[in-house]
Amino acid sequence: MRLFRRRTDLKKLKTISAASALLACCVALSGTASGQAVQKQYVADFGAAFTQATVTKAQSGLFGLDISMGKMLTNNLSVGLALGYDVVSFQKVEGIYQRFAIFPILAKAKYYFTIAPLMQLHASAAGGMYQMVPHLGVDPVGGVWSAQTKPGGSVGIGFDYWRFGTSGLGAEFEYNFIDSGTEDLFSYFAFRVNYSIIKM
Amino acid sequence: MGKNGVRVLFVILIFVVGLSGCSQEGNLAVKNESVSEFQGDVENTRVTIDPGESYTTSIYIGKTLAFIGPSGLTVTISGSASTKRAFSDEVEITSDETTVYRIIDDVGACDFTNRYNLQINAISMKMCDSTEFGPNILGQDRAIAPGTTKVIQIDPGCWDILVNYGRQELLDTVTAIPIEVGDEIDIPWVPGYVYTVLASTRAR
Repeated sequence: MRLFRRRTDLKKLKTISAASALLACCVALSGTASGQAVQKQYVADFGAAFTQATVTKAQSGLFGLDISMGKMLTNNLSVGLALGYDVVSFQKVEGIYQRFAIFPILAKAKYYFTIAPLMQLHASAAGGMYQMVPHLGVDPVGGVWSAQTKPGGSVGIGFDYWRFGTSGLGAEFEYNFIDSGTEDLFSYFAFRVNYSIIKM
Repeated sequence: MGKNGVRVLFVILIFVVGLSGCSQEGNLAVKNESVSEFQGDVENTRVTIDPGESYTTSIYIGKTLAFIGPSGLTVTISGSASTKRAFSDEVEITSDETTVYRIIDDVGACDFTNRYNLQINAISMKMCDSTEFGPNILGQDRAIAPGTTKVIQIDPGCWDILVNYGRQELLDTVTAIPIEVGDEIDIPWVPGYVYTVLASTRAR
């Protein structure tokens, strides 16, 4: 009888432990979920990217560093500003590094889709100006010979994984199009890894 | 690192490699189908192509990702040959294809050599059925020194050549020179030279 009672107590204890663990999980998850940005909050993204021009005479891409800050107008939509430095074509020729850099200054809108408490997908669209700076090229990349500032825009998709509550990691793929004044649109893509922070 | 980690890394690697962009290249073959040597520039490279020979080069077009990016590139071919007027053409190079550009004669030529011991000051030409010679085709301050040759491009037809030579600016005429497109004739000029077709025509 005692043995039976002990077993029953043990079962209860296990049940209580499991329930406690589940409750703790739920609390933790609900906390993280509420950590995702909501209306009137700000989201800052700090990104490092592989950037590659997709135009005539483009050489290998290199890297980009980008920062963006957006305000959540609704629980899903944010608008803000994005700045960056993207080296979209790079070649070493006889000890000289030829590079084509672009500084985007964009107004950016981002729409978030929550697919799990920790996970959000997002799609973005941006428009603004691009400062294009070719450096030491023999052949013009995309027909651009000289530094110039031109209008353009971008579209992108990606995800954020809010692993740390009000901060998270994510990745996105972004395509940029610039009206460079040459025959075709100047274009480049960025495959970016982001560290994102939510500010109240 | 577990098996899953390796798989994830492999997928990421494939993804990144796929995103690194595809290089697009095409080939350009310049065939010299004229009867004279071609000298010129092909995509900023100086080339000389003998008659009947070809110059083939690979042209780097650029980078693409999926359907975005360039599938072709316009390159410039320029130059001239004795029997081909100076030209500059743009040719569209398509990715993974060989574009053939043919250099074809469009004029005749005369290799006019000064075999006399006085310099030639000026050369004028006229059609055989015309009465007046045209302007000096050598231009100012461009005499033909003894022993040197000047290549003169001539439109098809029958031509007379007026030669002004020496300090006293003596005149001599070479008459009835028939020229057709692709002809390249030699005129080893001395005063009183008489042009004969069979001895002078080199190619056609």
